[in-house]
Amino acid sequence: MTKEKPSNGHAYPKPKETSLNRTFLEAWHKEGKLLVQSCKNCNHVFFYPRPFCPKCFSIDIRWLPTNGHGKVLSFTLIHRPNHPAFFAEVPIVLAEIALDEGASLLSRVVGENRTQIRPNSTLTLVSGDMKKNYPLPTFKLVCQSYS
Amino acid sequence: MEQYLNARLIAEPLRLFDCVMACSGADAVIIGPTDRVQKGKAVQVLSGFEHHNHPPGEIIPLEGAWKLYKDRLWDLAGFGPMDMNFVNAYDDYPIMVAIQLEDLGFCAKGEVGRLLDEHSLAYNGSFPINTGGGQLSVGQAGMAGGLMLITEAVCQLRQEAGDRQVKNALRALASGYGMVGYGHGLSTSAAILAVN
Ligand SMILES: [Zn+2]
Repeated sequence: MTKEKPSNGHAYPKPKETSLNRTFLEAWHKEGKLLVQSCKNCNHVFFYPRPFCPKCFSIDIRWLPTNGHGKVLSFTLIHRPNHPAFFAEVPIVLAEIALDEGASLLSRVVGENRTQIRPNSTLTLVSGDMKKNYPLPTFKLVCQSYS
Repeated sequence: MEQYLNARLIAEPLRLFDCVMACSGADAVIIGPTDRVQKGKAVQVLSGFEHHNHPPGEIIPLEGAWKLYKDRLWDLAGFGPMDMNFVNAYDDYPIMVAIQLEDLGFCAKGEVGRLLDEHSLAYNGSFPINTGGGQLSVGQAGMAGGLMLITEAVCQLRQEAGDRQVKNALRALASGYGMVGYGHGLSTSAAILAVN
C-alpha cells in the first residue's frame, strides 16, 4: 500500500481495515472506485459497509459500484483538524453527500475552489493520480461552467 | 460575549466556546423510598422516556426522538413545559439544546430563536437553562456527562445550589442525547423531576 504524504510530512491517518470494509477500501485503493451496498431483497442502497440491510435486515446484499457523482446535503469547513496531517490544508471541507445511487455518505471535498461549496453543489470523485493521495473516497466540486 | 463571538473557528459555524471540553469526572444519585428522606429533600421522577435511533437513516437530522414521546411525557407528569422552573438539556454543542427545546414542546419547530430571544436564560432569569453551566462550562466527563444534568436538577430541587439557586425551584426537566455515529443520534431521553 502506498504511503499518503500530505505537504507537511505527516501521513494521513489510515482507516482501520476490517472484514466488513475490506472490499470497499480495496476498490478505492486499487481502482479508485466508490462502492456502496445494495439489498437484493428490498433494493435499499446504503453506506457505510454493513453485514446486513439496515432496512429489512436481509443478509442477501451485494456491492454496488457508484458513478462517483453526488449532491451536497450539508457541509462544514474545519479550521482546527484533530490530526496534524491536515493542519497545512485548512480549511478541510467535510460534506454529507447524497450519491446518485441513493445512499448518502460523509466525505472530504478537496480542490482550490472547495470553499465555494454550498448545499446542492454537484460533486464528483477526484480523478486520476489525485486518487492515490487520499486513503478514502474523496470528492471535488464540479465546476458549473464545464458541466 | 465579545470573547465568545470572536473565538477562533473550529468547524464552521462552531467556534471554540461552542465545543464541549473532554474532562474526567463522575456523578451519582441515590435512589430510594421518599419516606426515608426529610421533607423537601426528596426528588421524584414524575415521568421519563427514552427512545433510540430516530430519525432512522437520516444523515443530517435536525430533530431527535423527544418529539415522539413528549405528549406522553407531559401527560404522565401532569405538567406542561411552562410549568417547569428550569431546564437542564444535554449540551455537547449549543444547537443540541435548541433542538431539545423544540422537540420537547417548549416552542414550535423552527421557533427556538424567538423563545431564546424572549427570555433570559441565567439561573435567576425568566427561563433558566443549564443552571450549573452545563457541559459547555465544565466539560464532558465521557459517559458520565449525561447524568450531570440530573445531579444538577436534584441539587436545585433540594434547594442546595447555593449562589446559583433558582428561586422556588419545584419542578424541572432534564433531557439527554448521545451515541452519535455517522449522523445518527442513537439515544434520546427526558425526565420530569419534582421535589416531593
Ligand atoms: Zn433490505
